[in-house]
Amino acid sequence: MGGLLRRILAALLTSLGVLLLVFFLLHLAPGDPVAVMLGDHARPADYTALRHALGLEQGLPTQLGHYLLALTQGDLGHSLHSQQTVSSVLAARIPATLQLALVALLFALLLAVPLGLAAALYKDRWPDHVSSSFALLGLSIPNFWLGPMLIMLFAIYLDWLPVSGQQGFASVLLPALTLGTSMAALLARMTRASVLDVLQEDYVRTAKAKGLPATQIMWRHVLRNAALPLLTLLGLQFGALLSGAVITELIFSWPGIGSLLIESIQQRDYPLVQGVVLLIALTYVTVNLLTDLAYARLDPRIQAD
Amino acid sequence: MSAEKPTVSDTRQQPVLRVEGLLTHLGPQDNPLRVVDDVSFDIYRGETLALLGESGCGKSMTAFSLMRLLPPGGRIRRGRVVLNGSNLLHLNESEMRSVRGGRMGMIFQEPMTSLNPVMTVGEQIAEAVHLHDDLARSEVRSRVIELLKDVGIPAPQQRIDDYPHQMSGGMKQRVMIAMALAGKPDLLIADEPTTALDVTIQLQVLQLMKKLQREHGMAIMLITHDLGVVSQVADRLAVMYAGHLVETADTRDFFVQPAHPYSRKLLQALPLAQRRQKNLSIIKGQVSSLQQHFTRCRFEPRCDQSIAACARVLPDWTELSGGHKVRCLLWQPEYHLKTSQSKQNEPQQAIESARSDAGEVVLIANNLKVYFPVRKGLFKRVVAHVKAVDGVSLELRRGRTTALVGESGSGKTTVGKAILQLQKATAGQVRFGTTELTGLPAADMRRLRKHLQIIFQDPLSAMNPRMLVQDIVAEGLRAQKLFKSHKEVYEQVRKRLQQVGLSADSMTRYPHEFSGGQRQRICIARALAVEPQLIICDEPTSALDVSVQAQILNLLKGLQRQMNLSYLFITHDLSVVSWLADEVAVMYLGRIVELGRVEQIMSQPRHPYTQVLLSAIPEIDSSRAGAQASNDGDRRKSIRLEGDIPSPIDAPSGCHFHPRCPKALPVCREQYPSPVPMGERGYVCCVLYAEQS
Repeated sequence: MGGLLRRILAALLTSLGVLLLVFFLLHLAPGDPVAVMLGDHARPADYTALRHALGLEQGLPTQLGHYLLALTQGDLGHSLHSQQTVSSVLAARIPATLQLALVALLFALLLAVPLGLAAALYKDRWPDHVSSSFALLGLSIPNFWLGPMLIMLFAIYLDWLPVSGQQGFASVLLPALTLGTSMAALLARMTRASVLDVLQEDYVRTAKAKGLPATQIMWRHVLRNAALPLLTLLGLQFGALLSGAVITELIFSWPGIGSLLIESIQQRDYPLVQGVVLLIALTYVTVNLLTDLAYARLDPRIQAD
Repeated sequence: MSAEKPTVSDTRQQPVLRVEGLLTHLGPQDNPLRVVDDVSFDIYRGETLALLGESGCGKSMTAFSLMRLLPPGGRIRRGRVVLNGSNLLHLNESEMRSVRGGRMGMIFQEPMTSLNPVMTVGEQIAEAVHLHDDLARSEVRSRVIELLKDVGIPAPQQRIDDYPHQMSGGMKQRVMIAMALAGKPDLLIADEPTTALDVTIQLQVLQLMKKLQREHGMAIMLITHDLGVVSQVADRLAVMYAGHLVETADTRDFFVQPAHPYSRKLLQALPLAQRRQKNLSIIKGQVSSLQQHFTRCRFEPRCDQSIAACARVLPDWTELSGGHKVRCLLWQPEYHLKTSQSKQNEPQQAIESARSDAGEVVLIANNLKVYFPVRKGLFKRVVAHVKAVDGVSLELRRGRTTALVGESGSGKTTVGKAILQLQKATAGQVRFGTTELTGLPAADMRRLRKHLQIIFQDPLSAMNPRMLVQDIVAEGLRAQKLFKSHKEVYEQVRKRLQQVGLSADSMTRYPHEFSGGQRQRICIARALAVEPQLIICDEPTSALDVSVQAQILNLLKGLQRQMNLSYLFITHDLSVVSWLADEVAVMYLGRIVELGRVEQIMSQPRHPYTQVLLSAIPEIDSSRAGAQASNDGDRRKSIRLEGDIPSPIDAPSGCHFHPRCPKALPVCREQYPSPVPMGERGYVCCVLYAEQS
């Protein structure tokens, strides 16, 4: 268990490092939250008063000290813009991102694994060509093009699905499709390569020599082993999805973490940006940690330590 | 299914397996490789037939044809494979599946990779049990435990839930055998079952197969390139060359009088002590391409004894005596006259004058230790050490070969690396001439590397695949700045390649374009290029076929004489040692247990471990095989070792060898024996000899 403890410790330290980096970068960057809040015609006196009220005229180390001290008590501060607590703003946005990420992941898996498998089993024949073409397309089409095209086709021309926003389950489909396509492409390629690798293995030959039927060889011997490298990729990709798919959320006005990040940066809402970044960092390291733990469970050669 | 009835005239019992005229093609339809070309043989109940041949001769393809498990592009064109009366080539795929792992089981060369790493060994054996036995869940488990017990796995109730990586290579091969036994096979096909195992473990596995054969009466088809393994376990053998059987005989008859010129060459290529004074016999040229349809003897281009007719006639079987048959015109009566006149083997050129002097010392390793830390816990504390090398002292002499012998995990390769400072030594000194190498500044060490070179076991992975041969060989010359101009560098490269028997046009080719033996020649040329004084040869011939090994060994010995080179020859193969080495050091778990002159160690091994290693070399000299046949191996009884080689993390207390030693005394458990001097400069670390001195 010492190993797990060490991993968790390392994960927390990584998140703290990211937080510090963002803290200083934000304050170094040009732009001023108070100016954004008061608009162009504000009086200097109001400006100074607001700065003081928000504690922005203090030195950076002092501000950081206050922030970290509050953080140890679980307090992420208040949004400069809306005055709500950062944690409540985050909490309001997380479900949308989670929903989008899960649906996109499910879509990607359902599409990619059969495609990759077919490509490997029928290597150099038409299923392989179909699958490879899809993968090439999926990887080369950018989300900022695919999203609007899907909107035009399904929302405007066919009028089957809502254009944007989050109203009901149907509204998640288009953004999930947009996000899932490139992920499915990557996964399909990985599945194909991984299955082809495993098919070459001596233990698959052993399974055949044992007289096992093909389906049993596929499920027990090939897929279980081929899934291992996929898991790593899946962990990384899912981490990225959970941290908010910035462009896709923007296109579909999806009220998730990604669009929150953009809004808060535009408003120079320092506590909120820091809160979002901390959440993203923690999500990333947690998903990675879980991936490694799952890996250790699936592959007996690797111990959790 | 067509039932095959034995003919009325057939008075012998029906064979378990009869293969007739098997023809297997691989690759494109219009220009196929004829990997198995008209192969026929029988195997009877309780019999072991060895299919003997060098790599690429079609042995494994024959086995995969029998199992109908050919790789993609492989197809059986003709022939019959009759197992207990039914022709397997007529079965549909689902019927064939029930034969695989049922009446016909198979085990493979690489036990390390032949088991699924994410399933317990119990689950994998259970799969086989399920397929061929209708048992309830609880019964399956007890059947698996029973099978594990049958193949000699200790504590099977616990080991059943182990994953393959928790087992040693020998154990994994036993699991493979257990899996094959689950279907109660009539025929077990063993494809190089012990090639990847150490000699002491090889003996255990071979004896296990023999025991199971006696108990179950199954027939075994043993595929091997190793004449030693054949002589140990086979009843009959068939020699395969270029997809074709060329000779078949009882094992004893074969070793007394091998008939086919190829078979004789194989036996003559073996490095043996009594051949020390001569170059090893080699086979000229390379195996003919299998893309042609042969209408002549396929060994003819490489045969020393060929006559004109060999290039015109495809030889048919000639029966020499009961069951000893050969496909060679020289044995057919109508050509027989010419045979007696044809020249016998060319006399082997004597290469060695007696060496009485010891030679000056080039390099001394003193009490060399290499420990690898084992770390655990939150702060990666060092909790233990793997003592890979634990106090090794050696003297290497000019123009001489010192062999470092041991099984895997003995630390022999690490000694080589530590001497070259490729691996930092934990303690001890390495003195080259007057220079101490440990702790030498990197720049000085780089200059000294001119004198110290190394050759590895796998030549392909030891070369950068994207570099031309000329640049591979030239790299050392450039690093040492030995020549000013490109022209001079390449001139030296050309000279060295020529010296190892490669033509100048190989300079502008890539490593993958060469055969295994040629690649090792390139690596030797690379080592020679800087004109070193000492070369560390780390298993340089272990990956090569016998006939190619003979060429490389001849080359190494010749170069040693020409250039007065010193070799540290790291190997597990004692027959190579007996032919090549002057001095032998035997390692076990990081320490040298015995050291001495080669004649003394080979004829009078003192340490029980050395005795075991030597007993594992099979007797294959033809003059002795007869004697062995008459009084059944009284001279060389194989000493079987129990258990696996322990891990160097927790080496046994006292003498490391005592848990496996057939002669261990109580005192052996307590302290490591100190060296007892034997002969000049030799010693043995064993209490059995302590009182004598």
